Amino acid sequence: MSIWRSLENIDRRWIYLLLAVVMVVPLIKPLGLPIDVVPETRTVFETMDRLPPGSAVMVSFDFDPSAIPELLPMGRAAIIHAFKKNYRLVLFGNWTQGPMLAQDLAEPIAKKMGKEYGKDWVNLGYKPGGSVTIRRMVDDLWDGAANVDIKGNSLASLPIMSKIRKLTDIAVVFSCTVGGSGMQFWLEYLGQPNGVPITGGAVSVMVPGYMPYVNSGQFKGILMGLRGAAEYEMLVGAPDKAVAGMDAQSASHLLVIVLIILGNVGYWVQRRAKAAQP
Amino acid sequence: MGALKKQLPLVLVFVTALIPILGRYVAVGPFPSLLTGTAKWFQTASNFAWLLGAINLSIVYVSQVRKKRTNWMFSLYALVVMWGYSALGIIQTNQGVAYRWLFNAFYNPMVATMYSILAFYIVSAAFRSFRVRTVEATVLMGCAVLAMLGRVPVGKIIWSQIPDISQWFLNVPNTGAMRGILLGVYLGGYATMIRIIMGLERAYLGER
Repeated sequence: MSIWRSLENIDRRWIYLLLAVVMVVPLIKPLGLPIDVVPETRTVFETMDRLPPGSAVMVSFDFDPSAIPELLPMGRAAIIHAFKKNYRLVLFGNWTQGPMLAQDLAEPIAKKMGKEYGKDWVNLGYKPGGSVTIRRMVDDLWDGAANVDIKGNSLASLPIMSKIRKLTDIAVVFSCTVGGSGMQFWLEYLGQPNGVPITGGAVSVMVPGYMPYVNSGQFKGILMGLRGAAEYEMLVGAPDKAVAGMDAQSASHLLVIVLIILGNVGYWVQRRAKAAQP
Repeated sequence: MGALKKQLPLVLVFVTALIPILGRYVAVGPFPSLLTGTAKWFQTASNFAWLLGAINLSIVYVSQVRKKRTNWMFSLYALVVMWGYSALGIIQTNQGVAYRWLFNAFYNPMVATMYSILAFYIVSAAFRSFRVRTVEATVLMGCAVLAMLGRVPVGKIIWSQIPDISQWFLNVPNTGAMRGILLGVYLGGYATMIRIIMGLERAYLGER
């Protein structure tokens, strides 16, 4: 087999191995490539940052473990941001596993930052119904949440909930979104009819579909995948896994481009050789 | 009986669709409270949907196991895991040590791994499919390369304008195209909704 033919048909096992290497090496030994903040991320940060202390902020974990690498860092940064600004934090999730991920994430952060469960923050857990649950919570958040938090505590027993009776008592909703029942649901059933700002982030593949809402100002900015999470971590002053992951993403994207170039070189050289044959 | 089987679902669909529409658009009398009532009803019904799904899945898997069909042991495994984990959740609640350990030690990494494997397939697929065979393929490849470089820090190191060009693609051509697609989707959704309410669309009854 000629070298050009080999280039056009690199065995996929070599590709898998190369990808694994270029992703793992920067995670072990970060390159520290500079990360710029795009306007969409800055808008998210400012929407969350400009509220008066004591405002109620909802961070909705609208994803399951498949989206952890991209969305969990966003949720972590939003929780830290809310605690730093002394907001009352309400965790929620339109996906079944989201609130459990949120609980495991928030507990150590709250402990470290001296925040008390039930007084400074609460986790409402997962409530079935999606858009209809949001619609019910607009009228009566307690009733829509079946009057219990993720631990089964009555909402009446939690001091933080005394002034949060409707979703309209929430100053901003920050949604970490992987599917339809995320930012779009919040916009359609809470943001647009009631004027509550909707912000947050989504996995990279969903961002192009959300850009019309971002450019119209309906979404207050958007964190675009891992890159957005890294930028937000930096703005909040809590760099972590997203920032570390950017070097790996740079390396993997470069690998894809190099492979595409090699494949095309092989393809064109062979095509010319075929054309030159009598 | 046949007429009841056909006419009753149509009447049910018409009436249940009418209730929230009246609740949303008629702001007098008892109508606004209809919206809250249907929302409560829907939320309760969606709880039962989970149970219905689990029972449906069980019927399929039990049948697989009984008839010893190919890979029937996986069906048995799925049944044990589904009902076992559900029982554990009911007994311990979601705060239980064993429940949370199984979630964090098994479910989380397994789902994350399944999704991460996609990255390997995508890279392999990109290598094989992005070939400069036609003008359209070349444009697609150019956009893909710009999008990939524009979203990572190394793009700016290669050429400082790459992130701006990538962002322009996202904000202008992409937004324009997505707006058109979204309008089409929602208008199509409305049209289908009206057809269902009026009983013109009966695919859900098994009709063609």
